[in-house]
This record gives sequence, structure tokens and C-alpha cells, in this order.
Amino acid sequence: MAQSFPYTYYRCPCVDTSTPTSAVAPPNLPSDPSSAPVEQDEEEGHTFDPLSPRANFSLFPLEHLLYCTECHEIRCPRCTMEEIISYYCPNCLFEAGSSSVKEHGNRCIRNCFNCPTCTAPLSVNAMEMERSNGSDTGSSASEQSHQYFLSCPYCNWSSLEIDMDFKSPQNIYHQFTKFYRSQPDLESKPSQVSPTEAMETPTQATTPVQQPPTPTAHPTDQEHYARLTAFLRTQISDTDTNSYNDINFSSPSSITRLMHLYNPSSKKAALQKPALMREAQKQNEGLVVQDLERDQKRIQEIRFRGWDGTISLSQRSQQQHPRNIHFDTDLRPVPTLLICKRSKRCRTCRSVLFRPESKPTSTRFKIKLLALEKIPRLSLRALNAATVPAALITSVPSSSPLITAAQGFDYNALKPLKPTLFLLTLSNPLEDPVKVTLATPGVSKTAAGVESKVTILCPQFEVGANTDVWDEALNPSTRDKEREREAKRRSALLTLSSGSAESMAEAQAGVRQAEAGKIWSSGRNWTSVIVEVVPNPTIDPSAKSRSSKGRGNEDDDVLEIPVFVRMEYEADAHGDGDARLDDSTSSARRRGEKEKLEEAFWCVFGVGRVVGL
Amino acid sequence: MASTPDYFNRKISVGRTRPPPSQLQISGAAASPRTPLFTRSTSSQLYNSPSATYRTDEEFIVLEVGTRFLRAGLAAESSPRCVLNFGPDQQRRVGDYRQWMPGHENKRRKRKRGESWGQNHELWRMDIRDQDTALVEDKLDRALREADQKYLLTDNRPKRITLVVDSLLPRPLLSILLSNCFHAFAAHTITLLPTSIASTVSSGLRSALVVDIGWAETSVTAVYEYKEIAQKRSTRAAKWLGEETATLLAVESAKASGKEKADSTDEPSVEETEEFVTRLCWCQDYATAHTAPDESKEIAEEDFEDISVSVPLPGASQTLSIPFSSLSKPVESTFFPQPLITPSRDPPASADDDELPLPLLLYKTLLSLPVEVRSTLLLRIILTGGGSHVPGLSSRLLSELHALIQNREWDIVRNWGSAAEVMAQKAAQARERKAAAEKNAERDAAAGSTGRSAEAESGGMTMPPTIVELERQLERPGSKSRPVTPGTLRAVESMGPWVGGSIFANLKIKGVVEVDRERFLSQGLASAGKEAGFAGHAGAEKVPLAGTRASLGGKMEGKTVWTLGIWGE
Repeated sequence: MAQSFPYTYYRCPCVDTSTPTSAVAPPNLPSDPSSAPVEQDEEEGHTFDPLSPRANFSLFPLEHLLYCTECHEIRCPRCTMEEIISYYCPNCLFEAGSSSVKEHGNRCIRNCFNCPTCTAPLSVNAMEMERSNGSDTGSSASEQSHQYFLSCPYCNWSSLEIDMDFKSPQNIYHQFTKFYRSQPDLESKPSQVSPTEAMETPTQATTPVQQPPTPTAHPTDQEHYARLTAFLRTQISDTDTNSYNDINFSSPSSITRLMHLYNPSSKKAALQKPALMREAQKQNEGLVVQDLERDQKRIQEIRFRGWDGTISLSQRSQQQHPRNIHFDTDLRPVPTLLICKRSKRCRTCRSVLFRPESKPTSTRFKIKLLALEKIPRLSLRALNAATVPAALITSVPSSSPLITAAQGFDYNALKPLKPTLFLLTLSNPLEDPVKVTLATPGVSKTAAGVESKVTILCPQFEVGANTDVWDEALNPSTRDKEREREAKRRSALLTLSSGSAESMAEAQAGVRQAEAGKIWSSGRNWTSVIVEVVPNPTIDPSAKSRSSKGRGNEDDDVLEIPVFVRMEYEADAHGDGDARLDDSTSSARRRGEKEKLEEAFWCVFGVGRVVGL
Repeated sequence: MASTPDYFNRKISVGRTRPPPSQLQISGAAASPRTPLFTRSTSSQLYNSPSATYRTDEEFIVLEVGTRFLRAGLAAESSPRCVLNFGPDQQRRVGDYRQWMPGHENKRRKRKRGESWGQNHELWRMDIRDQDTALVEDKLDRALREADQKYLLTDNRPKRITLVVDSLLPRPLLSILLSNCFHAFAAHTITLLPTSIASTVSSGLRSALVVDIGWAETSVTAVYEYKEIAQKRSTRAAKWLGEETATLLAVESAKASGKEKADSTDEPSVEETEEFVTRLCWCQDYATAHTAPDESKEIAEEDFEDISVSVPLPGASQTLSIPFSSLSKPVESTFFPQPLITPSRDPPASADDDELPLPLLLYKTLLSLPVEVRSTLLLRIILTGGGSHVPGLSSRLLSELHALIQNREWDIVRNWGSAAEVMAQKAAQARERKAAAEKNAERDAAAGSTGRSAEAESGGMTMPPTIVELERQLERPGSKSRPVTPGTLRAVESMGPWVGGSIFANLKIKGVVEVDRERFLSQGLASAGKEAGFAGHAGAEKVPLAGTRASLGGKMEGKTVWTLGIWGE
């Protein structure tokens, strides 16, 4: 994976419960057998396979997750609902009103544009050349004819390449939209087929086309669309008169409608002979006959301009009107997309999980229920580089597990058939001590099929509460004392055996073996245990035959360990979230009572890459 | 309130230039006869009813979902707000930012074993037997969420979705699609619209031969008065073109590095191939393609000097230099394999049923249609789909089709064998009879091409002259106004299915297949089949087919019944 090793991903359980299909009642889906087996697959008791393509959609880094305190569940982007608080432009940080957002296709309507070739923000520049030209004719003219253009500071693209310049440095967006509105010829404007005109002469539909469609320039998408919509509108309003035929006489509103019928109008004729809805026949009605010449011209242009003259797929997808564009001269500056501040709600209980302040420049939050604060952080790092005892020197005396990582360990080259020890550290963000049970399928595979044996030496342990940092220093618990003693003993051993490396190793081995059933080290709110990983190149034959073809995929050799984490803790009966909402009686009752809570989830450790034998 | 029938009908009525006066009352009375409400005056109920303001507050989302891309936008806009693909970059984990790493596009990723070319870029396949539908759902969910949160930015207003999908979408996939759309957008109604109809709408026509060169399949659909009446498919589509192009690039790359045979290092990635196809591929015109190689060289020297084009593929070690003329080869071998179109040998080479070359596919579709329809559609050919953007393709397709028609006429039997003489006699007789008939009835302009094709048809004994007469009698007056040049083919530009959906939603036309949220979420697709008797079982005959086929402007029988229309069959 792109993240550096080792990394941890957390799995959001929402895939099993709140997917769209599972919301649809299963018994009424006899024709849809696919939904049922999936639910069975994902039932509890089945192990989670991080290699399955579906896993990519349910695994998240812990920082991306929220936690619903009502449902006591992890919430990922998929199982939250979003509400927009405010829209703003990421470039100029200007807040936009929701009505203008709809009107302008959530683009910034000030001066923010993105480069069509490289997507960098464009800057507005004044044209210098104009001044020198103006000096020949007259100084006053040069003052007026200031022109501005957009240019990209990154790739040097400028709007002059497509002959686009602006009169003023303000309100570029409006000048930009005008620029395109002025281009189409006035003859073929959609207003020509105004609805009223067509209404007056409904028989127009049956009269033959007198003029052949004049060969006009190929219409732009917007023109084409506008003409066609206008045409269809008139057609529909013409043919709608049919509905007068089947009027319900019993209701007063129908009678008022009937009275309208007897007004002298063109509708009378339509009553006798309902006009057929016809199709577009002219270009100003929205019919564009394909110009086959144009294709030939395009081929010639491709031939002369080659690869560099054409636009790439990503450039095309950036464009607002990506149809019918092929060459770099077709590129237009792209007004910057607005982004918005959102609040997030739990899909199940609708409680707000996340609400930022509405100002675009503010980085504060009103509500923020992060999974980071509720879910223990698990991390994995190598215990050492070469052998177990050598690691002790560097790793063990340090009190924090974060420094215990071996400095020189190469995660990108896990050796097969060699046991490698990893330190799995679980730190507890809760204010209550937690009992943790870890479980792993035992055998993890890489995508290429290399199986690895994974053993968690101590799968059940306790983690202390996340109390005040000073608690540890001021009144050390017995466990801390114990640890101190151990550290002393170790350091004594180190000084004792500093003579030769060999004797040191022996001494270390004697004192500090990774022992099954015992935790490695622990602190105020963290505990570390040892995980042993043995990459095993004896792979199943089908995988071998496949991998032997040597089509090395980028993530084929990545070893990922799925671990099921289950934690139990006792919290205050009503949870700390609504403590302030409760009245005094319940709070009094709460004081004594404790509630047993349980949390379980899968997480995935990216260990490293397994190298070949 | 939201489920009363007149509530919905009223909303439909507003927004047009003039509200249809009686719809409200009719449907209301049909559902349950009752006294009209007197709380408001009747005129205000019609013109200033609260539903009118409510209506404008509604948001119309238009989605087009295909195998490769999701197009999403709002109604009454001329292009979709976003076009999202389902490529491997969209399937990464959250927090995996490798696609933004420098040099990422230079790495060639190999496809997994057992995967067909480009399979990693597909959302679904029509063959759902070995497909993980849950994975489809995951991909779709992510894409819909991105479309909503990045481009549409929808708020809490009630929403309606117009969903443009292929009419042959399998029901499990349709079910997934619907539930995901309801889930992502919290819409109260989804209107389904077939791709071909939407393409027709966006071209301004009512009948058209829609040639949709999609990713996995090219479909040729005959649409007559906004109804799909015939469809044929071929696997010669954009995917095939991509594979052919990849082969070409691999060979050229091997040539450039001095190797005899292309190996796996030469093979370009799917992204590179796509890039190449959209930038440089083109299609020869009919004349160039059908002249002998040495002749074509002469032509080439006049105004078409064969220059080589440099192709800097990002993943390749060196810049390739490919002659411009060979850039048209993949298109040639994919869509117009000559031995299959004009078989010269005996027995003639023939393609499998599912991989007919495009001109043959068009011809066969047209052949299966009634003459009247055929003559209409010949002038209304629409090319859409990702593969249709290759420059020169449409003119080539038309001239190939024209040549086929000239060559074979409208004869279902390709080779009469020993019966040829007998048939010739019969044809002569028929022609005489026809000539006699023609004296009586003068030809009109519209029947020009019909007549020509009818002539051919009668040669094949499938079209007795009496039917021609009957048709002439039945012809509607409106059709006379059509400007028709006899014997020509015409391609009409369409703005694509998404725009068709946008127009459809903008004009506030009630679709035939309207899926109600509550109903769908409680009962799934099954609720449609049951009530309409349309699940494909014996009860299906009760419902008139024509009514359910109509996809535009049709009226619903009643709110309590919804059908899956063309998808339910």
C-alpha cells in the first residue's frame, strides 16, 4: 500500500448492516439471490479477508472514522449522512449563497479559475503589450484598452492561447460566460422559436418545411440543448390540448376549465383535430444532422497536430462541457468548484457526530466525535532487526512503546521461513481500564499466495485507563513499580554483560524471551504484546502456478494481518455523553452503578513486503 | 399525504406552460369519488396551490450509469456536472494516496490473473453469474457519494432522480442500482429511462436507429415513436477496440526496442491505451479502405502523405513513432473486418452471432423491421457511446451500410443457391404486378425509400404489393411533411443519453417506470412484478404490451400500480 509500513486500518462494520441492499427487505427479493448469500458471508464467525476487493471499501485509517456515542459503533463516511452548512470557494475562501450555487453549477463566480491543462489555479494578469501599441495612436486610448488574461503560474498556459481576454480584472466569471454567449450567431438563437409564436399557429406542425435548414455553424452544446428544449416545450404545450377531451364534468374546477374552452382562442381548432407531436426538423429546433466533412477535417488536424495537440482524458474530464472537444485549442479555463462545510449525522440514530463552524476560515468544531477518542489505537512495529536479544538493548529500557521500533528494520524485505517478532501496542483513549482479546486467523496470505503464520503470543490482556498524565508520576501504582524494578534488573544485566556481545545475547536470552501468555510491556494506558510472523513460502499449488508467471503486481507481496479486537470495559451507567442532560436523581443513581460495555471490530496491520527465497 | 394520488398528479401539472386542467380531478375521482374541498377557491387550487411552490423546490437529479462511467448532474443543464469512472484508482482504500505520487502514471500495472482486458475498470458485467454483486454495490456507492458531495452538493430538498440505464440491465443489478440511488440521494422517486430512448430524445427525433458503441457491447436499437422495437448487439465495441489498440502498441513498442516479438513489458496499460484511442485513433473513409493497397498509396501521396506520429506513452521506456495510416488499423479490424462484411470466398466467412461487424449489425437490425419503420429509421441514425467519438467512424459506417444495401437489397436470404432462377422469375412477376399497382397510386415523397426497399422486399417474396398499398392508405398526414431524400442515409447528432434524461426531467414528463421510495424499500423490485403481473410469468399477457413499452409521455394507469416496464420483461 502507499502508506509506509507498518500501518493500521480499521474496518467499519457498516458493510454488514447498513448497505443499501440490506435496507431492502430480503424476503421480497426472490429474483435477487445475490443479496442473501452476501449477508450470510459477512455474518459473525467468518474471518475478514483483507485481500478481497471489497475490503478496500470498508477499511479506513483511524483518523478518518467517527464514533457514534448513542449506537456505540464506529461510523465511516458510508454510514453517516451529510448536511451542508455553507458553500465556499477553496481558492478565495469566499462564502457563496446557496441560490447562486445552484444557478452557477457550484462554481466560483468571482475570479477563480483552474488551468485546463494542469488544474493549478490561474492568475489574472494585465497585458503589457497593449500599452506600447496605444502609444502610437494616442496616450488616452492606451489607458482605456487595458486587457487582462488568465495565466497559469505552473505550466504557463494562458487564456490568450484561445484568444480569450477580459476588459476588467474584476468579475471575470461574468465576462467569461458572456464571452461564450456572444459567440453564437444571432440567427439561430432559440428565441426565434418562441413558445408564443408556435402557440398561435398550431398548424405549423403539419405544414411542410419551406426553407431547407441553412448551413450554420455547428452549435455548441448549450445552444443545441436550449433549442431542443424550447422546441419540445412548444410541442408539448400544443399537444396538451388533447386533455380537454376527457374532462370530468362533476367537479366545479373542471367546469371553470371548461369555461376557458369557450373563450375564442386557437384551442378550438386543436379540439377538432388534435395535433400530433412532431419531431425536430430544423437546426433551430434542435436537429443537428451530422456533418461528415467535419470528421474529415478533424482527422487532418489530428494528423498535423499529433499527440501534443490533442487533449488527455483527465483534461477532458475537467472541462465543463466535455462533449465534442478534441484539441488543446478547445480547452477552456475551468471555474473553481466550490466546496462546502458539512455536518455529519449517524445514519442509524440521526445524532450529530460532527459539526464544524460555518465560517470558511474557521477551523473550529462545535461537535466532533472522533473514533480516535473512543477506539483504542493499535500499532505494530518490528521488535528488532536481526535477532530477538539484540533488540532488547534498544527497545526495552525505553518506557514508551513508540520509541521501541527498531531503527534499521526493513519492512520491505520480510524474509521467508524466518520468525520475525513484532510489537503490537494497544493504547487506550478511554477513562476506564479495558480488557482486550485479540484474535487472528493464524495464517495470512499475500496477494501472490505466500502464506504466513501469525501468532499473537498473548491474546488477552488489560490496558490501563487514560487517566491524567500526572497520575502516573505522582502516585505510581504497583504495576509501575514492578516495571521499574524490571527495568533496573535489565539495565544491571546490560552493564554486566557489556563485555562481549555473545555473552550479552545469552544473558538477554535468559532474562527476556518473548513468552507466550505474557505481555511484553505496559504503561499508564498502553500495553504491548508480541506477535510472531513466519512468512512461509510453501504456497498452495494453484497460487504457485499463478505467481510463477511473474506478472508482479504492485501489492502482490504485501503481508497484511487481519486482527479481531474485542474489548470490554465498565463505564458509567449512562455514558459520559449525556451526563449533563440528566437530572440529579439519575446522576445520583449513576454514581454507584457501572455499565458493562463491549466493543469489537476488525483491524488490519500492514506488516511489510515478503521477499522471495 | 405524500402517497395520495392527486398530490403527485398535481405536481406534474405545474411547471409546464399551462397546467393540464383536468388531470387532477380525473385521477382523484378515479381513485376515490369524493366531494371537492372548499377550503380554497378552485382557481387558487389550480394556479396558486401550495404544490406549485413545493414543486419548484424539488431537485431533479439525472444519473446515467454505464459499465465504465457514471454521469451525474441536475436537470435542465446541458451537460452532466461530472463524469466519474470506476477505474482501479476509485477502488483504493481511504487514505491511500498513491495515485497522487509523482511517477505513479509511469508505472504500468498489470492486470490480475483471470481478468479480462480492462475488467478492472468496469462497474459490472451483464453476465452476473460469477460477479460479486456486493462489490458492484461498493463501487457504485462510492461513486454516487463522490458525485453528490463534490459536484452536485444537494441539500435537504426533496429529490427526484431520472436514471438512464440500459434496457437490458439484469434485475439484480437494477435492484442494486435503485437501492443505492435511494440510499445516496434520499430521493422519493426514481424514474427509469432506457439509454436508447434518452439518446433519441436528445437528438430531437421521435424515431431513430440508435447505434450505441459502448464498452462491452455495441447495441443497435430501433426506436420508433419513443418505443424500443428491436435490438441487436455485438461485442465489437470500445473494449475490443482497446484490445486491438493495445496489441498494436505492443507490437510497435517491440519494434522500437528491436525485439521480434512483443512481451509483457511492451504491453501498455488500459489507461495508456484509452488515452491513445481518444487522442489519435481515426477511421478511414470508405474509398480509402476499399482500394487495393498499392492504389491507396498513390492516393496517399497526393494529399495524404503518411507521416509518423510520435506517441509518448507515459509508461513506455521510449517515445514510439507510429505511421499515421496505421493509427486507423485498430478501428478497421474492430468494427469493419472486411472478410466478414463482404465475404468473397465460398463458403463465405461469417462472424459469430455475437460479434457481427457494425455495418452488418445495422443491416440485420433494419432487415428485421417493417418497411415503413425501416424507411423512417434510415434517415435517422444516431451514433452514441464512448466508441463513437472516433473521427470518421460515422461517415464510414454510413457508407458501408449503404454499400451493403446496394449489394444485397432487403433480402433476408443471402444465397438462394439453385433456387436463384426460380426466385428471379418470381421477382420478375412480382415486379410486373407492382408496376401495374403503381399506375393507380402515385408515389409520394415519403415512400421513396420505402418503395425502393419494398421493391427489393417483394423480390424476396416477403412483401406482396397489396401490403404496400395498405400502408400507403394508413400513412398519417403528418408524415408527409418529412423532408425526405429518397435512398439516402442520414446520421443525426445526439447529445447523448444523459442530456436526454436531463431534457426529460426538465420537461417534467411522467415516465412509465417510476419507482417510489417507500414501496421499493419495503418490498423491492418484487412489488412491481406482482401488482402489474409483469414478472415474466403467465399473467403477463393481461397487461397490454404497448402501454408499458411507451417510455415517454405515457400516462400511468393509477398510482397504486407501478411496473418495471421494459425492464420487467
